[in-house]
Amino acid sequence: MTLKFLSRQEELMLLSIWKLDTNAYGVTIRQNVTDLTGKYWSIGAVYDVLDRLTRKGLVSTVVGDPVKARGGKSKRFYRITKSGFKALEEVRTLQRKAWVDLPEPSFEKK
Amino acid sequence: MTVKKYSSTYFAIKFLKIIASAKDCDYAIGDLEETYEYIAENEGPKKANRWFWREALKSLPGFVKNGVYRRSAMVRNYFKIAFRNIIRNKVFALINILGLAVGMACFILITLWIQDELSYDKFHTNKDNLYMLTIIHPDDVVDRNVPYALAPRLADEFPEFSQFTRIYEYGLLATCTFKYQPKSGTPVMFYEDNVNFVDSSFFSMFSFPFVFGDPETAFQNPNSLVITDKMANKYFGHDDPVGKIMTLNNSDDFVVSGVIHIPSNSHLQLDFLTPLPDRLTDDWNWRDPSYVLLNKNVSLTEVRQKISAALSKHSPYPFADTLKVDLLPITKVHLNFGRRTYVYIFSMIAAFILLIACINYMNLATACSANRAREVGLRKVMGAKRPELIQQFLGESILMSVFGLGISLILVKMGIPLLNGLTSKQLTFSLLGSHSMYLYLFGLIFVVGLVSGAYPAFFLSANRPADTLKSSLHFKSKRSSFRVVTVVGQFGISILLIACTAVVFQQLKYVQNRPLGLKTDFVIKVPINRMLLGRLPSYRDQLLQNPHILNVTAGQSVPYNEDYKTGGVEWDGKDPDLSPNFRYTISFFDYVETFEMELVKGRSFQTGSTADANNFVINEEAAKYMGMEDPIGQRLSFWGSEGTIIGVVKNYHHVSLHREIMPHVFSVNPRNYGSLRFIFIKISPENVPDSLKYIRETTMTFAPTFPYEYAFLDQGVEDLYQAEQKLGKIFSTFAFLAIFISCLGIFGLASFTAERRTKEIGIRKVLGASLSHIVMLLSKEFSRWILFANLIAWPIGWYAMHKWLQNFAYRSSLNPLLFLLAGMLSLFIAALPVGYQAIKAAIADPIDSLRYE
Repeated sequence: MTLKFLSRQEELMLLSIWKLDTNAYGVTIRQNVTDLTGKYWSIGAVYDVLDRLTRKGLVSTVVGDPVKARGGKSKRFYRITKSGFKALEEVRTLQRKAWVDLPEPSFEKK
Repeated sequence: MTVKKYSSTYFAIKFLKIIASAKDCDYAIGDLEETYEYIAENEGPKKANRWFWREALKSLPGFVKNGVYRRSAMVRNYFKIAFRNIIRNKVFALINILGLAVGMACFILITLWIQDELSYDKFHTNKDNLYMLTIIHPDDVVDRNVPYALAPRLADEFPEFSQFTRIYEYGLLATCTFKYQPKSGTPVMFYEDNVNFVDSSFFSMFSFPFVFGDPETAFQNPNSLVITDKMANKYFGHDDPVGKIMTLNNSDDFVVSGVIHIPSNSHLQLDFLTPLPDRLTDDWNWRDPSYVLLNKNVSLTEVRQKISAALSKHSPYPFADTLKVDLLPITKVHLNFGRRTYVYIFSMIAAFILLIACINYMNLATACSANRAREVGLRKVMGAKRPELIQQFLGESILMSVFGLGISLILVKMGIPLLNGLTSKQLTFSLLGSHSMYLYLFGLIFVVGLVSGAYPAFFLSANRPADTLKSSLHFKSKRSSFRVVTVVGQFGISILLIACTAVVFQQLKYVQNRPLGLKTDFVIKVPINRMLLGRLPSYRDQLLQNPHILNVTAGQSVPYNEDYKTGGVEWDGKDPDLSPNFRYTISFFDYVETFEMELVKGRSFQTGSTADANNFVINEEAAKYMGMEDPIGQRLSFWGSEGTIIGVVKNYHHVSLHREIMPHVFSVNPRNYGSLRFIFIKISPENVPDSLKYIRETTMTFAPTFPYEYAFLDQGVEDLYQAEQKLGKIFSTFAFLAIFISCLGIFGLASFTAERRTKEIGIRKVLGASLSHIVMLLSKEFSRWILFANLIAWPIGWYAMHKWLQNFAYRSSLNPLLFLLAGMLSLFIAALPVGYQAIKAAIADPIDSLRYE
C-alpha cells in the first residue's frame, strides 16, 4: 500500500508559503521553517523540497524583478496552487481522523 | 553588495555560477547572497563567510545535478542535429570520417613507433648514471669506439667514476663457433659473430633480466659464459643450460652461468658474454665501446670538463691531442647514432597527415556553411549565444573525431603488422591495461576535434541571423580565401612527400647502380675456422682443381663493408700529428684478383710468394694521402713490419656510399692471418650447383669437425642501405596516404562547387557551352591551387632533400625533373576527383538543373 500524502517537510514548506503569502521566496521560507522547527536548514535543503513541490505542481513560481541587494539576481516567489491546497487539506483531514478519540500524548510509560 | 572583489566569498560565488549556470540556480545563489549579507550585518563578516562556504559546499551536489540535467536537454538536441546532418550529407560525412580515421591511424602508428624509439635503454636501473664513453673528432664526428685503456684510466683517476665495462667485440675479429655436446646424440654447433668479452662489472651496471642464473655469480669464473635466451633456445631447446659446457672454436670450454633476456629496445644486443681477462689496460690503440657508471649526485658538466682532455694527456699518440673524450647518456645512445633525424621526420609526417585530415573537415564544414546558416540564424533568434553555438559546432567536430577514432583503431590493428614489417620491430597495440593509452586517445580526439572544428565553429557561429533568415537565395559563401590556403597547404604537403619519396628512391637507385670498383657476383662466402686456416694454401689448391672455381682468397670482412682503422702506418716524411685515417685489409693472396679490382700501377701480390709478405698494395686515396707521386717501390711500415709498396689499386668502395673512400693498405703477411674470417670463392656462372657441392665437400674434408655455411656475397650489398630502403617505403606509404586524404577533401569540395553551380552550368549549356568548356571552367580553379601548392612545396622539398643527401658521401644530384614529376603527379591525381565531378555536372541535362524552381 502506498500513501500519496505530503511528507512532513513538504507540509511544513507549504504552510510557510501560505503564511508568507506574497512574500514567499527562498530566504523568507527558510527563515520561517528555521523558526518553526528550531533546526538548521541549509539553502539546498529548502530548495530540494521546493523543487519537489514545483515538480508535483503543488506550488507555482513567479520570477520577480532583479534586486540589487542580491547581486543583481531576481527572487523567485512561490504560490500554492489548487492542488497544493487540496494536498494540505488531505493531510489535515488524515491528521484529524487519526487523532480522534486519542488523549494528549504523555511521556510517561504505562 | 558587500561581497568584496577577490575575497574568498567572491570566488565561491563565481565557482558556484560556473557549476550551476542553468538559469534556475540563480535564485538559490541570490538567496545565498541575501542571507550572507543579513548574517554579515548582524553577526559579523567572519561568521558570514564561514556560513557561506558551508552552505556553498553543502548545496553543491544539488547544483551540479540540476545543472547537468538542464544542460543535457540542449546537448541532446545538438546530438540529434549532428546525426541528422551526417545522414543528410552522407558523402561529406564519409569523407570526413574516413579522412580523420586514416589520419589518426597514421598518427597512432607513428606514435607507437616513436614511443618505442624513445624507450631504448630506459629499463636499466642505473639509467640515469650510465654513460657511454665517446670520442669527439675535430670534425664533430662522435665515435663510439674508444681505446681500451681509457675507461680503467679514468676510473683510477677520478673518484666520480664508480664502475666501467668495456666490450671487446671478439666475434667481429675472428670467426667463432660454439659447440654444445649433449650426453648422447650429435653435437649442436654454429658459427657465431656476436661473441663478446666484457668486464666483470657488466651485470652490476646493466640490468638485463636473468632467465636462469644470477647476476651476482654470473662472472665468478674466468670461463663463465652468459648467453641470451635466443641462443639458449638455439643450442639447448627449453632446458636450463646453466652448468652446461659450450666449446668455443673446438678448443676452449666455457661453462654457461646464466641466461639473460635482452629486450628489443636495448641498443646493446650481445649474444654471448664472457669476462674479459684483466688486461689491455695499456692498450691505447685498440678501440671498442666502453661504458661507465658515475656515482650518484655527481655534476655531469664538471665530469665532462674534467675528462675532456684525458686522451691527449694519456694517449701515446700525438694525434690524440685533437680528440675530446665525452660522455653520452645511455638512454641517448640509440637516438644519437642515426635515429634522431628519423624520429623528427616521422613526427612531422604524422602531424602533417593528421593536419591534412583536419583541413578536410574545416573546408567541407565551411563550404557547407550555407546549409547550416539558417539553423544558426534560427538558434540565435531563439536566444542562443555565440559561445553556445561554438560549443555546438566543436561538439560536432569532436563527434566526428570519435567516429574517426573508432575506424582508425581498426586500421591500426591492421596496420601494425605492416609497420612491424617496415621497421623490423615487434610493436603491439592493445587498449587493455594501459591508462596512458586511454589518456592519449582521448587527448587525440579532443585535439583533432578542436583543430578541425575551431575555424568552422567560429566561422559558422558568426552568421548574422537577419542576413541568413531574410533570404537564402542571396546568401554568399564568404571567405573562400581560407579554403584556398588550406587546400594549397594540403597539396603542398602531399607534393612534398611525393617529391621526397622520389628523391629517396633515386638515391637508392644511384647507390645500387654506382660501380663499387669491385665485383661481388658469383662470389661465395664461407666462414673460416681453425682447421681451414691452418691449411689455407692446400685448401685453395684443392678448390682450384675444379675448373668452375676461378679464384680463392680470404679476408677479414666482406670487401664492400670493411672498416678497420689503424694508426699503425708509417712512411717517410709522415706528419706525426696525422690521425689514424688508414683502413687496412689483411687478406690471403688473390684478394685483388677475386674481386676484380683494377690496378692502376704496379702489380698485385704474387700468389704463394713469401717475399711479398712484407710488401703492400695501397689504394689511390692512400697514395694521395701520403703525397706520393709514384708510390711504387716506396717504403712503408705497417704494424711495425717494413716493406715496399708494389701496387696501387683504383679506389673502390670499401664501405657504404654514406662514407668517403679512405686511404687503404693491403697486406698478405701470414703473421696476421689470425684475423681472417671469411673464405671468398669466385665461381663461374655455369654449373653453380655442382661448384657449390664441390666447395661443400672440399670444406667438409678439410674441416670435418666444424659446421659448413655459405652465402652469396652480393646478397649483403643491399643490406648496407636497409635504413634508406625502409625510409623509401615508409615515405611512399605516407605520401600515398597524404594524397589520398587530400583527394578525398578536394573531391568533397569539387562536388560542393559543382552542386552550387548547377544552375549556372545549366544556363551555360542552354546558351551553347560545350562539355569541355564546362569541365575546364570547373577544374580551372583547382588546378590553379595545385600549381600554387607546387611553388611552395618545391623549395622546401629541395632544401630538405639536399640536407638528407648530405648523409651520403656519394650522392646523386637533385634532379629538378623529380619535383616537376611530383607536381604533375599530384595534378593528375587531383584531376581525377575534380574531373569526375566536373564531367558529372557538365553532362547533366540542363532541364533537370533549371526546372527545379
